[in-house]
Amino acid sequence: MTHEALELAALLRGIARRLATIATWRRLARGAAWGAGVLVAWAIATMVFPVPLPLGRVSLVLAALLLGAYPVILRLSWPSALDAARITDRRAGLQDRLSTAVELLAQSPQPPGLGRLQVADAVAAVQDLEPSRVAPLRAPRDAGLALIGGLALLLWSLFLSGWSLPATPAARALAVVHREGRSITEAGRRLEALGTSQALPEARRFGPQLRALGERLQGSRMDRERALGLVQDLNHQLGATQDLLHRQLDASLPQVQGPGGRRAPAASQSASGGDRLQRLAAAVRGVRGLTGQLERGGQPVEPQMLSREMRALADSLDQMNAPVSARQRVVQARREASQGHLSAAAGSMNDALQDLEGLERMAGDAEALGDARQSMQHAATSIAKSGPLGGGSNARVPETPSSSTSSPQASGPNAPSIDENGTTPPPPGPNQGSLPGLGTGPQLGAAAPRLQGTHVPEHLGGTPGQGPSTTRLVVAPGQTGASRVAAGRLPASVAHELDRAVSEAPLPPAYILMVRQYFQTEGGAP
Amino acid sequence: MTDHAGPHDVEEFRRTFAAVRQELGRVIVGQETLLDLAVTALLAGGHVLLEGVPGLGKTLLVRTLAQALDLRFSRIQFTPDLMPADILGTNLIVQDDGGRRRFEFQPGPVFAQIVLADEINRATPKTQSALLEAMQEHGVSIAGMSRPLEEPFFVLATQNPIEMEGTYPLPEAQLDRFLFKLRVPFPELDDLRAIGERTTGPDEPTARCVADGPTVLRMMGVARQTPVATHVRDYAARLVLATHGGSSHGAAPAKRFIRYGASPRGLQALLRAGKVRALAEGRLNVSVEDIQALAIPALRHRLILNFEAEAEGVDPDDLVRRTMDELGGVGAAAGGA
Repeated sequence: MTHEALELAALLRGIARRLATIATWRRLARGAAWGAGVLVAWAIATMVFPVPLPLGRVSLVLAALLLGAYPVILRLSWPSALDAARITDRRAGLQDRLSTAVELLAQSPQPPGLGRLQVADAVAAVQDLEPSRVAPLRAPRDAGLALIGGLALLLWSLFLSGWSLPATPAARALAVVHREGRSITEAGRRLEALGTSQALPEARRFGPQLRALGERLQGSRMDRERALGLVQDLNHQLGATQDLLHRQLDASLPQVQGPGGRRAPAASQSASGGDRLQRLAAAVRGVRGLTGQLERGGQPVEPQMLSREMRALADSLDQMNAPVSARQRVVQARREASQGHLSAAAGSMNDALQDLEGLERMAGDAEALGDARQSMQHAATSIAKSGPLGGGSNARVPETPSSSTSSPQASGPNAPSIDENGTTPPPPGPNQGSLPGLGTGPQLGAAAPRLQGTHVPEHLGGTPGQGPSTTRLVVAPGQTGASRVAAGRLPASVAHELDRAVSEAPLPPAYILMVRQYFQTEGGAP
Repeated sequence: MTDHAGPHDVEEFRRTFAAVRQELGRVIVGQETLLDLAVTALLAGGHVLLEGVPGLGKTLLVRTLAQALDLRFSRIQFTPDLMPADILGTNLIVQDDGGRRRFEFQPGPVFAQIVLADEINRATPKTQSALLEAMQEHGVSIAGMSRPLEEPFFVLATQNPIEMEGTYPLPEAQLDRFLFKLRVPFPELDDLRAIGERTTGPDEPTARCVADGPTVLRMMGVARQTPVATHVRDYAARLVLATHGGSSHGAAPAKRFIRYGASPRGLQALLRAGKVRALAEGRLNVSVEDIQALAIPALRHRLILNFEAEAEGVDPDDLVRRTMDELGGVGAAAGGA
């Protein structure tokens, strides 16, 4: 290869590299601009429709695609020497000198006659030619568009993400989030109050968290998918804590074994758990009563009756598999009482009482967390059903028994269900705030008219102040059978008011008929 | 096969071309493009059809060219009664000193190296075709005998575009034999002033001889060796094909206004003239700009317009220009004479 050919090849190689780089940049910038445009349109759509935009993940995927495509596009955009020569001719005003020389050299390394002179002429023409002059590396025009799109997305994520235009499906979905936020706030307050009043540590810990989450969900820029993720996260924590409490309860207060040493079936575990808690509460009441009797040393105590009650209590603790320490202390207290050492017996009983009260608090904690979980579960289901979700792991529709039904349901703890005939019955109770068939869509129905009455607030007298306070949960044992309050006829004024309210209410005839039948069954009017 | 041209040949070409142009410029005022294209056509081995009103210096151009190149010049005034023999020559009965008679060929005015066929459209088609055969074959056949014409052989035919009565317009097949059709524009004011000054003084300028026939032939040989890149050749071919409305490559103006486009001779004309232009411009290769600069004079007389174009008065120059626009990369120098 001649010196001229080498010189031209080196020049064209540099120009081809620059041309390929420029073409690759241009294509990637165009791809980025298109991607940014699609994302901007997507972001705008999220303000109208309840569609999620996982901006971070999508941006990462787009960036990875562009980076991955770079070498491929660079390879595909690499021009041949002849193409590079033609472009150089055009841009440098060489009047096809270079491309003619490249063709001549391709035909023969040493072209004859005028061909040789032409190659020399081309080499002389490109002697001072810089590849940067032919193919300057500049940011492609589409890069500006991509930059503008990226900036718009950044501003959207900072200031507009989570917002929705009024009277759009997105706004209705956001309203669902806000409503569930209020319900979670309320559940948090209840949990916190319960935890404070009953000294339940986990309830006290989770109450503020629920309340904070609920308030956060009521923010004006809450993304639906993020809201669902937050609810599910907290719900998961609640579940884990509740499971831990249940395990500790199971360890301290094992279930009664069935015949042959088998545990009760899973379906009956909750029922037996409730029975166990009732027994525990009853045992605590019994221990507390006996402790009180023993502590009231001045009051005459029948020794035989006391011994009989203590034996019954010990048997009851044995049956419910109470902790060994509590049972041993009751036995010890019975022995001390039989020996006349009433104060020592009272001390032992007090110890047993503390053991059992600790278990009772644990059970109350678990139950309170279970209630909170139900609220959270319901909120998650409502939010998930308010629109389509993205593919994020935190945004799955929660699997609840109610979610298996495909028909729309009104939200709230007592949402109407569908009966076997496929018809929607009227709301089963008061305070539903909706009529049959309403309250099931994305918008809430009109509130039901209330009975007319006068609200008289009552306040406690005295001066509010700070100081120690003790609370005690009084749980009465459940009793079966008919109500002791005899049903009687309603006063005429009440019956008249009810009749008037029912007739004025925009209710379907079937519903009114059911109401009348109910009151007639109860013996009253209308 | 011509020997490979060397640097000296290229240098001689450039020098002679510039000298001829300078001599022509000394005598003829203005008409720069016309002179360039006339010399280009001569060195490309083609003939030129000049179109212009009388008195614009066409005869002067041919005469000056002949003087500068030291070539034999003849002028034929075409008239309706002009016969082929008046151009080509004829066999005459000649009696020698011994009283014997014999036929002797008396060559006509076509037996020159530069022929001015003035107002060629005034002669009958028969006479026109006699000249055009000589132009194509560089030789004539009389009484069954072929007689070659002396090289270089260059015909400059003229026709008046405004006096069409009593004329025989050249048929398309014969127009195709001209390398260029050049339009002689009317001089501008400055040129007219210079013409008045130069031609009315005591000494009229004359051209010096700067080359001769063999030099011109060498220059023609050098020009033919000028390399043409594939894409330049492709461009010329696509340009010719674009003038055909019926072709799939036909340009939109061609499809609308052209009944039949340029022939392959148009492609040959573009490339041959392009080579001369490239060398004259100091290049050793033909460029797309060369093709674009020569497209109008080389193609304008090869387009057969349809009735719509005739009715609308479409100019073939404009058609070629629009075809190049559609093809892309039209050069600024696409105007031309």
